[in-house]
Amino acid sequence: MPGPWTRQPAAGPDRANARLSEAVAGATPVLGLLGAQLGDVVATTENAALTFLGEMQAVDAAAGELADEAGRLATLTAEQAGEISQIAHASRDTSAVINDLVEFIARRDQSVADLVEDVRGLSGYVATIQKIAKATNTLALNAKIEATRAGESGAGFQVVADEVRELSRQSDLAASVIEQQIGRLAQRLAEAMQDRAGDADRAGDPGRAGDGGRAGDGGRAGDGGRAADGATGQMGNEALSRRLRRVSTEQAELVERLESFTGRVEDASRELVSSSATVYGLTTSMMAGMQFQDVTRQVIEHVVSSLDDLGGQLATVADALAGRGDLSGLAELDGALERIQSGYVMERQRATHAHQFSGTGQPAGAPAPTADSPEIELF
Amino acid sequence: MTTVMLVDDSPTILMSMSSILTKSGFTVATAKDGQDAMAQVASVKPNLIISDLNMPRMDGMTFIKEVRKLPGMRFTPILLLTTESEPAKRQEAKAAGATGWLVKPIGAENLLKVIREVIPGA
Repeated sequence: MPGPWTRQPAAGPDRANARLSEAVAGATPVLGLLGAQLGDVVATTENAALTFLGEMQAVDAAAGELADEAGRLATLTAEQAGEISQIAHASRDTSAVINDLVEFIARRDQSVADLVEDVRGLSGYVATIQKIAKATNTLALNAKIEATRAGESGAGFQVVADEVRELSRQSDLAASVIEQQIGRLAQRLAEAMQDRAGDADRAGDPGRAGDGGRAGDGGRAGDGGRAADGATGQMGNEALSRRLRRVSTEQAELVERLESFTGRVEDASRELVSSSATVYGLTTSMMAGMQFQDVTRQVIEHVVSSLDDLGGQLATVADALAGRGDLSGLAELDGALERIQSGYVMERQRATHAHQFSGTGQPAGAPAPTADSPEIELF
Repeated sequence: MTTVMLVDDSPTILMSMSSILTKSGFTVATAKDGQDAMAQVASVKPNLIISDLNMPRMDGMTFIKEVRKLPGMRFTPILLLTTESEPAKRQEAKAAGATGWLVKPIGAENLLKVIREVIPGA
């Protein structure tokens, strides 16, 4: 269908006007073409925006899943930290028990050592008893001799002397038995401490001193049964104590490293949650940013409309130059700018128009919202 | 669940706003102009309408006046989301029954903030 700018055959116009008419009329298809190209821009940007939005939705969904997973990880990490805290607490309790145990062993060892010494000390009393028994026996012998010298009158005295000798013999025998018992007791105590030293040896404790394994000889009088070296047993206990302390220290260090590691994992998971939330928020902002396509579409459509209007005006001029129609159509040319201006909907369009005719030479830029035109207004 | 009806002749606006609102937990229905919206509003029963102003077949101003006549729609919040910035148009929209006026492009955060203001608890 022919538009207002379609060429009409000239009907006797002035030659120059005819030429001008042709030239002006030739511009109108150009304007139509520009309008079509701009329309294509609108369609292209719309397709691109819709494609981008589709992809953004996929990114957004993935970001949402990532945020959910990060949240679950943070929850698990917090639970793990709670468990490790309980382990650390239990570990500290264990260390305290080990320390108490080590002190108890030390006190017990000291008590045993004191006991061994006390037991050995009894040997002195045994020696005394044996001395007394020996002296009594000697006294009894002397009494018997005197009783024999006294003859018949000393017979009763001789019986007493014999009984005393018998008591002396029994005392001596009892003292020997006691000494042997003391010796065995001391040996057993020392051997018990040696056993602990042997355990430390078998455990490969590098702190063990001496050979820890000398056997006792039990019944030797005079040394209180110093059969085994109690010092070795004591050193075995010291080795055991050192080992226990070392285990406690290593456990504490392990728990500390575990707590530190868990703390770092918690920090990392918190950062992951924060980053995921940031990404999730950014995708939302990017979706809102696609509104630019609609804004530019409206501007371009207004430009296309204005180009159509301009094409119509040029067709009117071409007709006037060619002598077709009357000149009344030219009156419309005066209102061209006003018509364009009346079609503006955005502040930016009005600002650009004002700037274009202000002659300042600077770009208008986006106008700031005013009190009359806030960007958000609830009635 | 809060239902929002979006009315706009721009597919880009419908898709972007719909994505933002769906992500924020709203149920969304879309219409490509006022006439399309009038055909759906009775069945959709939106808690909120967000409409463009300049649309073919039925523009936003006419749509507001018509939808306010429907039973149950007298007090439903209706926000205009438009590039239009003329103060006279705002007053016309207010007189027609609009609840608020939002200028495109609007940020997601501001949009959600306004929605929570007009629908407390949304």
